[in-house]
Amino acid sequence: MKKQYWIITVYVLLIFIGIPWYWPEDTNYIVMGFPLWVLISIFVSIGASFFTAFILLRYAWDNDTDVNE
Amino acid sequence: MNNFQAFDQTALIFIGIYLSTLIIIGFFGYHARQENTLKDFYLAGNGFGLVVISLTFYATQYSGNTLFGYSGMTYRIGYAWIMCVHFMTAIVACYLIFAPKLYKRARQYNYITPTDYLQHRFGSNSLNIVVTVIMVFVLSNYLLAQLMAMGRAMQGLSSADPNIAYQQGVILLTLIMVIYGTLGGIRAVAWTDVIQGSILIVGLIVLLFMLFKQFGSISLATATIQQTQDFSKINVPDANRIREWISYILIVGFGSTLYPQAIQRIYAARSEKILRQGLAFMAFAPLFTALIAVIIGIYAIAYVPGLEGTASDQVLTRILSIIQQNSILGYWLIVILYAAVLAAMMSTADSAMLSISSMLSKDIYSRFINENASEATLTLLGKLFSWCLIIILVWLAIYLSDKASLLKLLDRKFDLLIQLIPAFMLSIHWRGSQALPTFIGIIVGVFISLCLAYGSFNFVHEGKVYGFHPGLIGLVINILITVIGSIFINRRK
Repeated sequence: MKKQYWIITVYVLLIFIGIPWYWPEDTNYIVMGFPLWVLISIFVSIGASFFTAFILLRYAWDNDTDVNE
Repeated sequence: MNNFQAFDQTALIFIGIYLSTLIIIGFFGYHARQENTLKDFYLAGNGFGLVVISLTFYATQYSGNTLFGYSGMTYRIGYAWIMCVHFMTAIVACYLIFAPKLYKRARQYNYITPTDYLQHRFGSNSLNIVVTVIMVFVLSNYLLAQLMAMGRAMQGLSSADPNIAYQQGVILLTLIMVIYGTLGGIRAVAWTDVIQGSILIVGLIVLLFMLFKQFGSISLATATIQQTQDFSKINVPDANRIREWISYILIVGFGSTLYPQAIQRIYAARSEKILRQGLAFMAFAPLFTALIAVIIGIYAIAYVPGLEGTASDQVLTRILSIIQQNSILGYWLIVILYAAVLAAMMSTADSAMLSISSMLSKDIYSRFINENASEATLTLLGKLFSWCLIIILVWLAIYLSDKASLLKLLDRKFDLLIQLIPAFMLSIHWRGSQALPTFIGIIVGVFISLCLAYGSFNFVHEGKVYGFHPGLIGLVINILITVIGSIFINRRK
C-alpha cells in the first residue's frame, strides 16, 4: 500500500462527522430509538468499518518498498 | 458478580467441562509443535490461518473489562460512551500505519518479540531495555487486572464466603490458564481464543435479543430515560467530553496496536492476505461487542436506576440476573454468557502472559545474560518465567483485592504505551530516525505523562488535561525530541 493521503483525509472526515461537536447541547431528536446524534455516530462507525475493510482487502501490502532497506 | 441465582449442578458441570476443554487444548497444542524453538512456541512456526488469526485478534482485544467496564461507563455518562465504538474501530485503522511494513520485515528477519524489530532497526541496547521495561510493566498491570476480574467472576458462581471464593477463583482459573499456556504456547492460546471468541460473539448477540424480549425496544428504553432524573444522559456531550472523545480515539487507537501481544499477532499470521482479512474482520468487531455493551448500559439506566460508585460497574450482572430469573432460556443464556465472560478474561490474560514470558526470555536473558543459550533452553526458560510471574501476580491479585484505588493509580497503560509510537511507527517510515533521540523522547514523554497524571496540577481533572490524556501531551514532546534530535544527528553526519 503506497502512501495514500486520501485515506487519511477520509478518516479525518469520518471523525469530523462522527463526533457530535456541531450539535447544540439541548438537541433531543429521537430516531429509531436513538438520539439523532448517537445514530449518526453509529452510522459513521459502520462507515469507518466498511472503509477500513475496503482498504485492507483492496490494496495488497507487498507493493511497498521499505524505506529502511 | 453477585446477585445471581446460584447455578445448578448441570450448569456447574457445563462450566467445568468448558474449563477442562482448555487444558485438553493445551495438550493438543503441545503435541502439534513441530520443533522446540521460540518461533514455534511463540508464533506457531509458519503462523495461523484466517479463522484462528481473526478470533485470536478478537478474543485478545476484547477482555472481560470491555463488557463490565463499557456497560458501567455507559451507565454513568450515558449515550456519550458511544465513543467506545469509535475508538475500538480506530485500533484497526491505526494498524494500517505500521502493520504492512512490520509484517514484511517480521517474515523476512524472523522477529519473535516486538523489540526484535527495534534491535534490527536501531541496534541500541538502551532503547531496547527501556521499551521492554515499559511493555513488561504495562502488560503485568493488565494481566493483574484480568486475574482480579477472574476472582470477582468466580464470586458469582460460589455460595462460599466472597473472600474465599475470590481467592479460589483467582488460583483455579489462573492455574488452568498457565497450564494450557505453557503446554501448548501460542497454539494453545490461539486455539482456546477460537472457542472463547466464538462463545463471546454468540453470547452477546443472543443477549441483545434477550434484552429486547425482556425489556422491549431501545425506543422504549430511551423514552423511559427521558422521563427520569437521568434524562441528561441522552443529551449531546459538552465541550470537555468532546475533547475526551478525540483523546480516546487517539490514545486507545494508537496505544492498543502497541501492546506486545498485538504486535506478535501481526508476526503470527501465515500470510499477508490472511492478516489483512483478519484485520478486516476486526474492523467490524466493535459493532457486535462495544456497541452491545453500550446498549446494555442504556437499558440499565432505564430499568436498573440508582446504582452509585463501584456498584455501577456491576450493571451487566444486574441485567443478566433479571434475564436469568425470567425463563429457562434466559437461565441457560446466562450460563453460556458466564462462560463467555470467563473466556474473555482468560483469553486476554493468556496472551499477555505469553508475551511477557517471550520478552523476558528473548529480550532480557538471551540478549544480556546468556547470548549462547539454545532455543530449547530459551523456550524452557520462557515457560519458567510464566510460572514465576503468575505466582507473583496471583499473590498481588489476592493482596490487592480490597485496594481498588491503588490499582487505579497504577493504571496509566495507554499513556505509557503511546510513548512507543516514534520507536515503532515513525522509525518504520522514516529512514532518518535515530536511536538516541528516540530513547530520550520516550524517557521525557513518560516523565511528562506521569507528572501530569499524578502531579496534582489544578488544570488536571480526573487525570486528564482539559479532557485530553496526559500521554498525548507527553507524546507531542516525545515526537518533537525524536524528530529534531534525529535531524540534528543526520546533519552532523
